Amino acid sequence: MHAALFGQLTIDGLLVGGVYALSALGLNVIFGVMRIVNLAHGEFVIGAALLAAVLFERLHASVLVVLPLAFVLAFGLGALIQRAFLRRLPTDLASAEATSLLMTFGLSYFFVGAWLAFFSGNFRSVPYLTGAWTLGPFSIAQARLLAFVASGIVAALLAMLLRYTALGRAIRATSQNLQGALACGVDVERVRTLSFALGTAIAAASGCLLILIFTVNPETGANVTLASFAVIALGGLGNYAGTLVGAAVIGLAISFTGYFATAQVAQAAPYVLFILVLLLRPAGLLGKSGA
Amino acid sequence: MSLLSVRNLNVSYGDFKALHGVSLEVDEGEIVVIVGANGAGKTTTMNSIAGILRARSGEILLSGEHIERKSPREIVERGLVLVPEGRHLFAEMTVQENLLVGGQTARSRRRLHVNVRTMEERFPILGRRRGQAAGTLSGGEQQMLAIARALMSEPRILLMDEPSIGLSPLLTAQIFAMIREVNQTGITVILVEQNVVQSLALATRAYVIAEGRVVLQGLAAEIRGHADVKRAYLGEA
Repeated sequence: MHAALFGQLTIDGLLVGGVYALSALGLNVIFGVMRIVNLAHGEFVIGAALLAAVLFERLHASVLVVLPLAFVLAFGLGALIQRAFLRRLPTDLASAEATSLLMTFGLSYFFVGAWLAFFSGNFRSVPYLTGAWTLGPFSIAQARLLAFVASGIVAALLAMLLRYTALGRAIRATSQNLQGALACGVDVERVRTLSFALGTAIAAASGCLLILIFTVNPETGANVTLASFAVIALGGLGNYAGTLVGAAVIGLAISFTGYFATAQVAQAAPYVLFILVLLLRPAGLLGKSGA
Repeated sequence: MSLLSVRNLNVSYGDFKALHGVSLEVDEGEIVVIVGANGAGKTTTMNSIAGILRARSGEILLSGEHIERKSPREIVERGLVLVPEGRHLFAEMTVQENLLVGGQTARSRRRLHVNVRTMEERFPILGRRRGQAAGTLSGGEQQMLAIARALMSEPRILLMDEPSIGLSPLLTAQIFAMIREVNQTGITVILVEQNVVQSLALATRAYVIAEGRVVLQGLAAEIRGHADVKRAYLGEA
């Protein structure tokens, strides 16, 4: 393969991977603390993406303006869902996992219906920064670079929150050892609510950036959920650093298969990787569950 | 009035009844030890007092205040902290971060950081390893960190569940010396221990639990000399 082509496909893959990383980070925060596999995650991503598209169409609002608005709205929605539904899950872990899958599956269907009612079934995108910069032999799409950089900033803010604040330490402590967190007097119920809210808000942020790259409609949320699962399966459930590695691998897989095969094959690539990793390295590429 | 009163505590796991009307009294400044065979209900008693397990019925009073329906956080705020069996450290977080989580209920950030410094002075090895992941510490260091983490909330009562489990005799002696030091600072200690001889030597009073019931109680020296205890726990005829 020509070196320039390899470089171009790598750049494109990493830029897309950055946005997937953000979506998967949100999913991983929720799983880490609550041990809930949130099947409605993609619906929060797509809801924010469609909101950004509609506000761009009607008011020419930049996604960078819509992003903080969507973040705050999704944070509130996430907190409400946790308090109203997920808090009522059974207390023993096995029953909680099964019930949470059914509950979030139901929520997923509810939100697909809600977005169809709000936004209609049309496919939408945000044609913002449609040009490209040339850097030697490489072409860098402005929208993809913006989405990548903004995702990086949100992910860095999340990392700082987790590392340097009392809430972040409480989230990590609850994620690593629930019994230890309870013994220390961590308010675990509050941490769960804030973690679900934060994970939902991060999903919304990633949706505002994803719409710069992809065309979506209310029914594409399941694809995003699956791609996010593929990312965290590669990186390891509950492993935040592994999420970035997983996202890079998924982004590169989409980019290379899209060029050498077809767009349909590229769409299937994350799921093929997902299945392969589950079969061959169930703890992820970094071999760590993070629990 | 006792500092801690546990009255007629009943706890079940599904259909299995783990505690049958357990009652304990603990006075300020005491070291009280709870001994019993594996599965007797010692850890269940400790977890119930700390609010981690919800009792089916019974009362738990701390300085006269009912705490049996309080959350673990509310109980920590009232000065009762558990060092759980198996330590339950946050293995991927640093020693310093573990201490900071232990001080969650501190009244101010300044107080929190003063307490971290105090712990690092009191346990110099923790100070030297402050940036190291807790999971990479040795067993003795991990137990020291578990105790220091509990002390971060400035407790009045420290519940310690099997602190010597998995430790060598030398480290066990160090941990017991540490428990005595903690008690000498005015902190009341309730200790669950498999190491019956050493814990009875350390304690003021003792309770013996079997099959979820208190079967014997009294001064530690009296319990040490009791024929049933000698036979069941000390291997003496």
